[in-house]
Amino acid sequence: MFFKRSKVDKSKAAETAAEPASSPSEIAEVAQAPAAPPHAPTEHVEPSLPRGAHMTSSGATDPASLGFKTTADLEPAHGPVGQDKAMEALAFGAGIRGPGYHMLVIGREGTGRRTAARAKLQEVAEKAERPADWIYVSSFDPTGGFRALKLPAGTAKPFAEKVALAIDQLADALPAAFAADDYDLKRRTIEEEFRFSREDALEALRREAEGQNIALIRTPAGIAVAPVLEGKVVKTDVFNSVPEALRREVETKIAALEAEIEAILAERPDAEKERRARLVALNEQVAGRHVRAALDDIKAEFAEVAGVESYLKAAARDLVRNASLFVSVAGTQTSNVARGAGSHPRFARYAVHVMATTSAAAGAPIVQEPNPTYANLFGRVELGAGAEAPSHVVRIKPGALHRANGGYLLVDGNALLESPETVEALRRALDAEEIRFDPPVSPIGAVGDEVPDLEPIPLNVRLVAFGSAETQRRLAASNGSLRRIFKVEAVFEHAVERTKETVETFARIIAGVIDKQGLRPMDAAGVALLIDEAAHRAGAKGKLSLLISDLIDVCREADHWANSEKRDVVSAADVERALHQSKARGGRPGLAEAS
Amino acid sequence: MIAHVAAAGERRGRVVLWLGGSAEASRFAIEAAMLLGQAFQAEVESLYVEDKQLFDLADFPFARVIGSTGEGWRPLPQATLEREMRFAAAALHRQVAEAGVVASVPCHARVVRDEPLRAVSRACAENGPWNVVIVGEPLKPGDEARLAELFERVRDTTGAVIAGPLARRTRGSVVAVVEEFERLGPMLKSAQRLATVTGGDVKLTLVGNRRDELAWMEGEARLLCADGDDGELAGFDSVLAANDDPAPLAAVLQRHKPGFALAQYGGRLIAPGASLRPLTAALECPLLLVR
Repeated sequence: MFFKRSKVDKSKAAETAAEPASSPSEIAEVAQAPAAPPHAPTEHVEPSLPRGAHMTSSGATDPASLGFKTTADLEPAHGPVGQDKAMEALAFGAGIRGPGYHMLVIGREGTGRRTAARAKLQEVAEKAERPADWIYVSSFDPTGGFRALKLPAGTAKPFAEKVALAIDQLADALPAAFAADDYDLKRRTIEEEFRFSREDALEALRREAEGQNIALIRTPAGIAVAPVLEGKVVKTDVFNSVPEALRREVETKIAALEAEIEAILAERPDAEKERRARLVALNEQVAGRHVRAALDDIKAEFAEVAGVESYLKAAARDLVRNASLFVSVAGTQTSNVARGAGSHPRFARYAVHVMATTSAAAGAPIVQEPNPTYANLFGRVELGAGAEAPSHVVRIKPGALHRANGGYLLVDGNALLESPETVEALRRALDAEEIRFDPPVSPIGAVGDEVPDLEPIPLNVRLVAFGSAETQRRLAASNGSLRRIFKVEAVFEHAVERTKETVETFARIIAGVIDKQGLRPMDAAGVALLIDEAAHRAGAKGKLSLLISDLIDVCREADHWANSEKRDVVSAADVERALHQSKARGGRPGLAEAS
Repeated sequence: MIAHVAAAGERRGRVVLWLGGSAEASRFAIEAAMLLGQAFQAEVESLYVEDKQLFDLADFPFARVIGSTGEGWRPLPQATLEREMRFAAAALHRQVAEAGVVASVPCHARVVRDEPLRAVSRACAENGPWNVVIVGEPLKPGDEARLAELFERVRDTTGAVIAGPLARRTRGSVVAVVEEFERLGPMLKSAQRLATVTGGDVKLTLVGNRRDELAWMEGEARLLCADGDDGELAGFDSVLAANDDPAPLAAVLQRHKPGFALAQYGGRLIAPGASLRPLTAALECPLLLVR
């Protein structure tokens, strides 16, 4: 180990180097041995190191042979060392057209496979066309479902904002329009016309009855018919004193008038229907004008986009039909009615849910989902309910599949396998090439089977799963169908042959880490120590470990020590100290991904 | 009339709110009663008249009643009629009392069983001439005969207030439609008093047959306003009315959207016996008809 080796004096190191190399099993044993305390005696037996490129006779890396003073002299490298086959597979998988070429990236943690895969995908993605945006909008039908609309790349958010603004404008304009004198007078005129038509009929009947000495009298409960004489209701004793034939005649007339009154009042349902139809027409006329004004600009701007016009038409119809919602909401709020009134639960149906959108500069999206649960992959629907509105969709949150649509979705294979339902749903989605919302558990707020019907969205994504050989086996065992869709496998080795070229690339990778992390340059001796550590960790003769993630922590900590001593260059002593501290904490530096 | 009260500098009068013609009572009529009460420091008498003739009718075995929603005929025995009358009167009186509390106007309630106009006439006669009758039931286009009979039979009143079926306001300006010069002063003063409680100004509409007559009336009106201290006059309208067509005056009421209006009964706006349809189609506020 570096720390121990650093305590060995040069002459002893030379002796050790002269000894025959240890067997691989010995090396492995040493690699797993617990770290000695910093003050351990130097006579401890050092493992033999394999000889190879840039090595001194003692088996250590010769800093002088590396050909640079500090890493500042090197061209930083970010790619992996000696992973040609894996990189070739990634390039193939990223670039090939056609569905089904999903990728399984296999290798140990820390080999830089994620960084390498991402970098390779990025190269291809940058050149790819930006995928279209997708939104969900209400279908405005009795099912309460949602239509998926495809919009040109980058326009989903502006579209959603414009619709929200239109709803806010209507929340202002409609209450004002319906409170206007003009509207009120028209409405009341219709109401009164309806009432007058009945009154007129009753008035005509009243006059007709008057000629027959019969009166229509209003009572607190309605209308009654009475025999009259000189404008007064006849008293019963007077009535009874007239001949029976005359009484019967009057009673017959009264019965006939009652029938006519009943007929007039019975017309009410038809008249009522007509009255309602005229009021609806008036409301539509008033609301329609404002709704058209609010939506016309959006309609014009998105005229070329399939489906938008029909959506806006349906929305306009619904807005006109439900204009009273705006009026009643305005009536229940204070003066600042309009601000954000569109976000009132009653207007939830007009919300545009952006499922996928890309920024202006982006090509194809690359989305990494560290926790590939169903909700995180397929999205989530949140339902709300309350006194203000019946059960309604508050939000449709996109999943990683929506965000990655048209690009690449990176998931951790082991995490994915935690949920067989999700694995199966993902396989179905990739097979059918569509995102269908069919969650294994009800959405938030759903009661019973109130899962809204979301139109499936066409899916065109390249799945990239990361795992180990064990993941590969588990995948085959748990879901053979999914295993088969991974037509591309990129296997990252954890160690490569120690050659002149790999050692030099390794040094450039260290320069890359330093460059990326913004650290001080490291001198050649420090780099040599790191190369030795990599050789040691490879656990086999003539190999170099590729666990790049370890490098980052060591470089950072070494930089810290150089900084504490106000030096501009990280030295071998700093590296040594970093390794020592790390081991004193209980082992190797953390295996964080080099991504 | 109350205008006379105002002109004579009288401080008090009485408002008789006539209820009971049917179950329907316009809330604008009730509000008008309160405004008059406030403007003239008058008390409101809520008079529910049980039409005696209905009880005569209820004596007949064939007496039946049908609801306005046409749900079918049902017998109308005395007991049922009495109960319905009692409940209707109680409900309306409570409504008036509540409005009185809000407006700080003293209200009294009374139920009488009589022939309706005779009951109103008696109620007015009991307290001297300074009464205004408010017709609680919304005015219908065919009510011209009823209105004429009210003015003919109820003598101890200075006028009557009606609210049309399209009533919707009791706040804002007061429009006084003046057709005769001798009424100008009292009507203007009444309008100015009313304007203090309706929260608006006074808009004077002068109606004449000739332009010179109108100009002269306007000049006189301006002089009257300059002399008085009862309030500001916001505007004049001069309507040249060569015939009895009420439409131009109805249009004035529509245009100004007043909270209260004053006009002369028997003038062009409401000629005795003429159809009330043009007025009911335009009237959106209570209208005080002066004799």
